[in-house]
Amino acid sequence: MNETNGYILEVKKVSKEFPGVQALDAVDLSLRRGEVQALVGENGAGKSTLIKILAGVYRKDGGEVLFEGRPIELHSSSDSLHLGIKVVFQELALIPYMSVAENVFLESFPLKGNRTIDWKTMNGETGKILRSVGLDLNPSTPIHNLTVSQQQMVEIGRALSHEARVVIMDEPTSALTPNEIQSLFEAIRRLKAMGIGVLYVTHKLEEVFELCDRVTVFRDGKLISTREVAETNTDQVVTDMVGRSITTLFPRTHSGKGEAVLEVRKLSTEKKLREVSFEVCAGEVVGVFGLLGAGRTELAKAIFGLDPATGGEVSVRDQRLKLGSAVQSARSGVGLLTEDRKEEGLVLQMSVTQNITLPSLKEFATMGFIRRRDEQERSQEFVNRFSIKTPSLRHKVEYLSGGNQQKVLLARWLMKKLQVIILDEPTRGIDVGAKAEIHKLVDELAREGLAVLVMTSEMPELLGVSDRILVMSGGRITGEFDKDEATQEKVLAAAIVGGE
Amino acid sequence: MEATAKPKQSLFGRLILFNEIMLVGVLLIISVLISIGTPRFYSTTNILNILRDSSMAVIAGIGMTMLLITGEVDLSIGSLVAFVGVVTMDITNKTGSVLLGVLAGLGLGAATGLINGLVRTKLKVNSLIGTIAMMMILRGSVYLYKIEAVQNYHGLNAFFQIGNGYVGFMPIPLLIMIVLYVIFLFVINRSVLGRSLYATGGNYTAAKISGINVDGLKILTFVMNSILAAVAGVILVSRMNSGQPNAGQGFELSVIAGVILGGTSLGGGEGTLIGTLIGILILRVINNGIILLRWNQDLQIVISGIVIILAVYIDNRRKIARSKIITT
Amino acid sequence: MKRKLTVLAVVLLALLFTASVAFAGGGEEKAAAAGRIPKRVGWIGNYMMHEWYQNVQKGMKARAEELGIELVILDSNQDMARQVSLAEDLIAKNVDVIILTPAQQEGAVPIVKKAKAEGVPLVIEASAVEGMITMVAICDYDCGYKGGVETGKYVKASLGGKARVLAVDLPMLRPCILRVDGFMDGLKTIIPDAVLVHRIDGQGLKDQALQVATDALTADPNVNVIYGCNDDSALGALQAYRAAGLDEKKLVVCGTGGEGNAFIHAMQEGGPYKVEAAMFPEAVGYECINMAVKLHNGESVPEHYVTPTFALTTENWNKYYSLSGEVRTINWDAVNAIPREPQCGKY
Repeated sequence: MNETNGYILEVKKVSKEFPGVQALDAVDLSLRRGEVQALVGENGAGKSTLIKILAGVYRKDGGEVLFEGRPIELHSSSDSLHLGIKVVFQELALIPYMSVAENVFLESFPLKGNRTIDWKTMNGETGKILRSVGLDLNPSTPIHNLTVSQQQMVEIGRALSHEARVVIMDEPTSALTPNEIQSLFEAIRRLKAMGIGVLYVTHKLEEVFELCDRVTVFRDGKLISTREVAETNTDQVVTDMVGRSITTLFPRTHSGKGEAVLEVRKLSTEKKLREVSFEVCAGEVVGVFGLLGAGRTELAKAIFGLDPATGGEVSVRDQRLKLGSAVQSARSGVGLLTEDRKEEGLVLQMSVTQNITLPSLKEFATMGFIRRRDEQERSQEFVNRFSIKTPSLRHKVEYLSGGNQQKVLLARWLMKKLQVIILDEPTRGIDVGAKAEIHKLVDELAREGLAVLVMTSEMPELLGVSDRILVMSGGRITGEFDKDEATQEKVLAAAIVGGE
Repeated sequence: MEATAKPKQSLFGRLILFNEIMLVGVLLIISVLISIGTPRFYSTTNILNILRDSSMAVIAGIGMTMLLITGEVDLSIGSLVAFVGVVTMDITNKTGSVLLGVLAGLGLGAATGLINGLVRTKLKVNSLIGTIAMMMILRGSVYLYKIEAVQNYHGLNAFFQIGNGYVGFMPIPLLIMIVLYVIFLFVINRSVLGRSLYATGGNYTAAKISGINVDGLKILTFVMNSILAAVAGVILVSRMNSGQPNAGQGFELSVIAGVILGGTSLGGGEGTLIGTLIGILILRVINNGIILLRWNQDLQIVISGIVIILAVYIDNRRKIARSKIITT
Repeated sequence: MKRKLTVLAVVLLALLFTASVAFAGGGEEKAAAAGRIPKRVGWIGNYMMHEWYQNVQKGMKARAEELGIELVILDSNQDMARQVSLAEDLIAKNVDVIILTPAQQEGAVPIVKKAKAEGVPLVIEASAVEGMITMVAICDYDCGYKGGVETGKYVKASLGGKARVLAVDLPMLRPCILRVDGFMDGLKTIIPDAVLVHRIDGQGLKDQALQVATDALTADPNVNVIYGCNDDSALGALQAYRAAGLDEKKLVVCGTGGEGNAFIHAMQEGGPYKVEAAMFPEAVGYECINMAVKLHNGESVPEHYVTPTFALTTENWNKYYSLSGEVRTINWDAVNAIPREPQCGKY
């Protein structure tokens, strides 16, 4: 049977319901041969659910899926694979201690006379497949010796060994360097040339516009639109995603900086930092950029005292801080929003109010006992101000979405009246709608006169938010740019210099 | 997270959301069932017995709840109870003063708690292992101190009153328990200290970043826990009328079982005193009921075990029910 | 090839070692001839921390000193594997006789076999092991029986002749069950319509007995006899009785064992504790040494050598024990004069 209309994959009115929740609502989607189609949408919009149905992990409740014109039933992941649909999840499904070749041919080892594995053929075929995606590797290398980027390529190679016709990639670039991203894009373009259809799920709109042919937007379980990339722009896509228009992603209202508040001199740590020195002024937003392993998080933690330092000094308004003492830093007016807000920032079982007021308890205490009403009132102020969406102040924070959780953390620091705030990847894993609100809050922090230090790996955010940019590489500061003179190229150039 | 819509919930789901209500319900159901089998159950004597008998476990349970909230545990309280009893009786014998004897016992508790706390925070030894070691050290040491039980040579009435006396109709151990319970109820729910306990157990790093002296707090909690266990030990030695080196065996497990039945999590960050009180009462009522009903005494452990498993299962369902209330 | 050579070397060494040990052991045994006092006796104990065994030790040491025997005392701490290795140590060190308190009855069988094989006489203390030559132990049933009889006499004389019993047992251990059974049988010889109202498990511990007896007395407080399978059990139940506000003057308490001074203290108080089914731990130790000497001399010995048990009362206890401060001394003449059963009434 032939594919109809040149579509390799068609999803018709597919629905999926979970207890009390309509995850997908009569979704219609089509994928052409040799097309790269982006799937975008906020967290919980339904893209992951669709992917899992196509992978055979979930079973659809209604509608049908057509593969090359034929309706198919997907009961398990091996069904999908054998039919020719390969999904590359964020958590790669490779066996670390086996070799590349063994993983590529995992479900279908070539056999000699039906008994023993034909290593020669296997390695040979693997070599061919790897080269076709532009990867030059020894097929017997064990997986755990490869980088994440190389492992992803192996997964793609696996797809090819099964003669996949559809490859679905789920947020593939979150752990990749810019170079590795380019290699991935190359590999995907090669898949395109082979006539394979690619569904590409991502948060990063710049990738959509660089790589993809069409972009499909999900919202609240429904498919909102499918547009040709050449005929649309970021704003339109964002509007579809969020359901309302977002005029600017990076509002900047603060201006002018005061005197130096945070001074870091020759700060070093045992493993990473090498004599880092810089300062941040009141009302200033300094963005720190670096590739994976450059030392941004180490810097944040060392300044705050969460990790020990081996040398140097940190001062807040000329008052030297005791290195390695988080408690002291907190009491001296320094706040830290960690990269991993669930692991290190929020107390998940505590309520919104309790999380917001945690560092400020003394303000609300009489003789050691908390004045609950005061606490509630002040927290309500912040919830209103930041539009934190929660059914009540007593709601446990673990049930809020990522964006609202982050707002709670920011509210916490704003309530505290800090001098310095360090934000490590404040918008990681947060969808576009919430991102803009977070940036607004960062702006507000600066407006209130705080010295703001923002660590980020997202270039648009860096360029949009910062008054001044510091670039790190190999534990050192390798570049410094004012807002006006900074460009993506200059920043990247500094980021790869002197890497170890 | 897949859901953005408001989810539906079953009635059962909503009811069990309120853990304490469910526990009280269980307690009532069990009590009614036992009463049908034997009217002696709800006699004043029996109720007071149950309460007085539970007082030691509840007092120790207050400390254990606080400790579990911070994410730690203490398995040495059984051995501590024995040692405190021996020391208290011995010192009272030797000095003729009940006050000195009791202070000696409480002092031993404080010292033990301090060591447990330091081992955890400075030596960074996991509290499960650390307190098991302390349990063995205490149990061995009490025999080195006194190989035979210490009899009551002083005959002081004040000593007798602690465990056996009454104020009006209320047994003194019950009175002690109520006073301590109310004090700590306030502290845990309303004070900065209480909030800090939950924060430290819920997320150690977050608490640290917020300026809470997390290590100091843990040490303080270990000390409070051991002092409270020592109070239970003083009550016990008064009731037994001798300091027994072999007392308290299994005490730590029955306290922890009651605390967990009451909804406190072994992982830290959660727990209430009300839950602990009812959890301990439920287990005590089961044991009492089995004797009153003249059932085989071996059933005590079996039924308690079943109740604990059911309770933890329901607790898990409750967590799932709650997780359906996700908002964007 | 290298591997095979190593294995061969190890096997050869092992053979050489075993052979040397086997040959070395033989000669000296024959030197310890019949008709003499053994020079060295080793005792592998099981639970030395307990008061009971502290007193067994006292008796054993006293008798060993009297006879000029060097006594080696080892504690296995209830660990059967440790007992096996301690036994091997003692055999290797050429003790003349071994006394063993088994941690487990089945687990001690290999020790019995090994001692026989090596020709080392072995005296078992407390619980029977298959294949043993002799065991020194009390008769639990008869001990309880004597206590029951004495208690019955008291009930008849002073409490109106009706007996309702709360017995605190330890069902996990057969000796304890025998004691309670014996007590009731003995009691019934004097008071045929005696009723066992409660038979509860106190786990042999005072705090457990206290808690369980409290509940039992709530179920039925009409009790005038308390029996404990050991002293702690009886005393714990007594405390529960007192705490329940019941009348002590209408009660009699009988304990078992006399493992420590608690019972003497209780008897001296002048309260309801009137009878003690004493087991004389010192005498157990004493007789172990006696049996050791007999075995060493090749004399024939009974399979179960019964040590004395007797019902002590507030009137007669000081004939058998004297207490000064916290130290008690046994009166050997009186205790040794107690008639022993040739065999136990029940096993």
